[in-house]
Amino acid sequence: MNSESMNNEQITNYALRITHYECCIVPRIWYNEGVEGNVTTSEAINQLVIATVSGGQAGALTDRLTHDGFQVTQVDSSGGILYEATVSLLIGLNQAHLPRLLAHVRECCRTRRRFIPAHVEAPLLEIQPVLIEAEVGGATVYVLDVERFEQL
Amino acid sequence: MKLIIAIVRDVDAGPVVEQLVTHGQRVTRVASTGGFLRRGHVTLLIGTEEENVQPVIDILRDACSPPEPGYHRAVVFVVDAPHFEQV
Repeated sequence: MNSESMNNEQITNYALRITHYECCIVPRIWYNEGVEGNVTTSEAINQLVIATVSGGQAGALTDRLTHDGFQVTQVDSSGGILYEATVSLLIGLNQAHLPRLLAHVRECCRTRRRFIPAHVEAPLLEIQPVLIEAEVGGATVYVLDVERFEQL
Repeated sequence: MKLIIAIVRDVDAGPVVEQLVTHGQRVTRVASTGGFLRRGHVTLLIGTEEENVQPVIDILRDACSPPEPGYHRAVVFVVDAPHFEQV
């Protein structure tokens, strides 16, 4: 067996494992959507979306988008008042699919309220840490017009 | 002024950046992941004049190694930058 065919076999094995993983955890309705909605292959890419989402929600959103046929590049970033870990997603798409992308983002990245311990200097008092209520999650989405798109 | 956002495989990033810098282009390199298997990619941000867009794309095409079947060497978005300033 030469090295090329071994490589191919390894790739196939990996693909099979991944497929199995998808079937286990992805609800069937997403899977069907992914098969029907082939978003980026045939149509011209004319917009670039830069979506910044919180780190905890990025995985679920990326999975969803990938299953719906979007092509996603993840960039780790941080920001906001708490310097929380965020992920910026770069997604090239045709304008026609923008509403569907935004629907995914809205469903996956709802803002929610969480209590975060605040640092209060009180050395002589044994008190419960003060909690402040903060909004976490949500997404910031920039849509840019692409003048030219190439896959080299 | 145009902003070129190019996504290349991490193994190609070194030679690509070297070639671009040799040709006088300014490059910002950002580590990223993507694709079906979430492999390592590098996102390059290249700000350049309109007439340099085609030369940059040619450099990207030449400097990236040939892709595996079914993959591309690089994905390139060119967006307009109406305002550019170096402070």
